[in-house]
Amino acid sequence: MRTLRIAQEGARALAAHKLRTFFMMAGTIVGIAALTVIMAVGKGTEKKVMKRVNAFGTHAIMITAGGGKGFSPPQAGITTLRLEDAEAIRSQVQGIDVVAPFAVRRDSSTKAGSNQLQTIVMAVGADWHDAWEWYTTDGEPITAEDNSTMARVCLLGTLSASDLFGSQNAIGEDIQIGNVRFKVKGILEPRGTSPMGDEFDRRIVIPLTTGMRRVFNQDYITNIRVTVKDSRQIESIAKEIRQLLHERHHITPPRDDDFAIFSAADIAKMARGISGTLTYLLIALAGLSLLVGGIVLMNILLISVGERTKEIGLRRALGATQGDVFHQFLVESLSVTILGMVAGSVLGWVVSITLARLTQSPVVISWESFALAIGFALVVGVFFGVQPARRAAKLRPVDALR
Amino acid sequence: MIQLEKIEKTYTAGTVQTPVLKGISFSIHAGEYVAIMGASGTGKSTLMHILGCLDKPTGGRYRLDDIDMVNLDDEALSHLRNGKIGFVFQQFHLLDRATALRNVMLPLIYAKEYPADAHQRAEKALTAVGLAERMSYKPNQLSGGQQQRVAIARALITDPAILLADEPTGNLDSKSGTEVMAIFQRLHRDGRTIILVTHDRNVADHARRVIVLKDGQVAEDRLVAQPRDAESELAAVVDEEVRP
Repeated sequence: MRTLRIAQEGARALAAHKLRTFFMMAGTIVGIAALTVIMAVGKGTEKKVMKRVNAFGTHAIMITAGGGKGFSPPQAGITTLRLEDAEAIRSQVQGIDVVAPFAVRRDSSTKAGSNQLQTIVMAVGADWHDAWEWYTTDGEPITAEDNSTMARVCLLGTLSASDLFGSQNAIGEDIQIGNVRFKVKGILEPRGTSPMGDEFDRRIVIPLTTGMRRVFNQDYITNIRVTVKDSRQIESIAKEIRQLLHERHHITPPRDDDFAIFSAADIAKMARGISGTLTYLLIALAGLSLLVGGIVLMNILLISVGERTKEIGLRRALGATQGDVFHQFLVESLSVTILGMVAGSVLGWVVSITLARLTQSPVVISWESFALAIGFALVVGVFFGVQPARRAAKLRPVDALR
Repeated sequence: MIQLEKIEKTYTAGTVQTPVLKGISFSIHAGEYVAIMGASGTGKSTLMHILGCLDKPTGGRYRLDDIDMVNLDDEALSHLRNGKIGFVFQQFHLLDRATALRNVMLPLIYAKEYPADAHQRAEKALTAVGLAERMSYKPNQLSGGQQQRVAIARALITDPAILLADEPTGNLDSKSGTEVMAIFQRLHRDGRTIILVTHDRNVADHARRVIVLKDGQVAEDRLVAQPRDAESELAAVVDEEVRP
């Protein structure tokens, strides 16, 4: 009870000096607000990254014909990647689950009745479903038999189905890809947006053999998708595949690769982009403002101890122990940082939400950031409050009353 | 109630030793009204600090209510001050931003047991010094005399064994000063033990006993045959004011 009464004295002193209290609080408010925003943006970015990585496949490695550093779509007319490459990877690289070669053609003209659609057509083997963990919701998947018989069947994404058939059931209907007629065999599960920003669900999938011989008329493939058994090995396996393809394609530096390899890890790196560096910079900024805020707080408290020498002397004369005076000043400093923390968190939330609206990027407000803010407030309050509180407590009542 | 035996106080600054109190002995009994007098530099303030347990002597013994304060640590001294001593200072020393009532209640915050009737006690104490109408005023809304009366109410709120006043009239005009003296005399009549520290003979003569310090020693310790009566002096002042 006595402790509580003395804490109240500290709170009263703060309430009596509102402007001074605000100045003491300012640094904490800015620091905590910055911290909250950083955490919110960081979590938002991470969420975006995870979404991208999940869309790509956490265990996946993609090999694309054609060089280039960007994660670009396969270029037309690149003939370097062949089914034999996929066969070599399957037989020579350890730790691999599925190897699924496929051929992609962008801007293929398709139509059903009077509805037309320019879209991506993918010609795939039977194990493509497993490699993408992407199956049909209605109808049947592409099978090995479809490939051996060069069947003219296709699967539609949900968007391509609605583009071509509206709300009508597409299964069993015919569509035309180029000049070739296909029967819709199944509808693919919705998968959202690809790491490159186009819609997975607007694709059309046909058997690999049918695609190569009847539609695209080519003896090469554009991609190989490989999935690994253990995602921790993904980077070493990607490296091994690169070496194997170097050998097979007779590539030695300084000649550029005629293929590109991307793994889930590369996708994550790309999605994070510069936000990683930016986050560290902002964290440093938040830390700095908390530090500066703490130093300001300590200085104002030290000045206040000087100004309130008589008050402290009086309290000592009336029976306050050194501990009581220490306690009161520590309560003052802690109250300042805790109030600053609450105000800073609220400010940070407001800024985060505004930022999310303005930039259309995801921002996640988490309890972790609030817990971290409480932690920082307590640490700053105690760390920078102890010295002034000790100085106040050490004043001799006789000197203080003069 | 109070026993001082050969109290000594020597200040040490580096290698220079300055003796201020050189063996002071006297006793004060419960209910006495004693003035400690002396010119500045005679150790009067130092003695007051020791009597008020704000400072420790460097030699001798001081017993307050049968407690030997010389052996107590800082914390125990704080509790002793809170429980046994009511201070009245020359500068009043009120908290600027707190009301009269809150100022009076301040010592109770540091009491071991916070009385349930703290509010009522503070109101009663303020009423007793004639400030029933001013309880929610802040110090800057009060005159010097009123501020000192708030301080007296604050000193009495813990019902201390002794009331220790250091030049209580020093910052007041003569009328307000006399009013404070009148309050002290009334408290004395009610049985309160009062120690008044002053350099002013006119103030000291309101007490029943005067101890005069000189050069760190007791030069004189006498009873006042005819203490001045603050009430009648006050009546005289009021008379003068009323007369055209």
